Amino acid sequence: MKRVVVVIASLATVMIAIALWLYFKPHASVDDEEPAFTISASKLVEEFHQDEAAADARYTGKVLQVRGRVREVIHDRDLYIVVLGDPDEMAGVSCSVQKENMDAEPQAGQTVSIKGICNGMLIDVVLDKAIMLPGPATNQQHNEHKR
Amino acid sequence: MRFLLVTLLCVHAAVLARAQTKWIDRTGSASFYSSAPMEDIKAQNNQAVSILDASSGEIVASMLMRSFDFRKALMEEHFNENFVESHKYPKASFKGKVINIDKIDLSREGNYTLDIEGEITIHGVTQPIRLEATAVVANETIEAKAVFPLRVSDFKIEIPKLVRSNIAEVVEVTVAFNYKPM
Repeated sequence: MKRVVVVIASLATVMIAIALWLYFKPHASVDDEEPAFTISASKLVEEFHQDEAAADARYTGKVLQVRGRVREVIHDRDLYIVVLGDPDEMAGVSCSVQKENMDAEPQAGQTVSIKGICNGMLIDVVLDKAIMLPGPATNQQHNEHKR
Repeated sequence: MRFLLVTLLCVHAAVLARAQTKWIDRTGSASFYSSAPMEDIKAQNNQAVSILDASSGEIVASMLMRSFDFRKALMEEHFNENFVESHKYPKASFKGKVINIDKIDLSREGNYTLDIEGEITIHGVTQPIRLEATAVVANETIEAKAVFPLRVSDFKIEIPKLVRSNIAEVVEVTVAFNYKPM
């Protein structure tokens, strides 16, 4: 009898836990997700410009790893918006990065890699829930050396 | 010679003035707040885009529905998949005009109240809208903010019976743009 009670109680506990987990399910973190595509910022913008519908179907809702030059960093409350792209071009890739995922604020001109979920395009291609990837953040001087 | 100099200065000023008439914000915020008996829900979008023409008063704004962040992942899923159908209608947009632009000079620093009339499109449905916004012009920026109500059913967004006590019929929308010269 006691055993039955224990079994029912533990089943109920598990079910409540599952229901609570679904309700309070945390946001999918791109941290441990493999990117569906690894692409340069300029190539991504170009693809959206050429055929927005096709690029939408290909990239929107997917985890992308984008590499490009930082054009601008906007710090807004607990959020950073890092815009990748050529300063002379109208469009770039706008990535929103939560403060807790930002160890060191990147500087304009640096080349960085960012992983995030593609939401589509407005003026810029928009990446959400993004994280900065550690790696060789080359700065402009470096690039000029290479040239 | 002096005439030439004055002419050049005038042209220069005109060019500068024209360059200043278009303003843009690519990281505008839009949020909505739903207060219902069962729970309060807030979602925030920090990557809205807007362009303001300070001389004609024309305003356009656009945002991706998927960029609305919710505190709970499940709500974000329901919002995108069932309510606003982001796969079919990825963007919300606004197109309108500051109707009292004649009485306002946005090239001068100060606080202004803007009367705005236009059309808002959400979930593929376009509705006329009239709203009041505040604008603060200072340090080469125009900070504009508006709070207005939207009735969910006006945009053919269906809320299933099961969650009707969790979602308000009218949500409060707040938009804020920090325009910089384009």
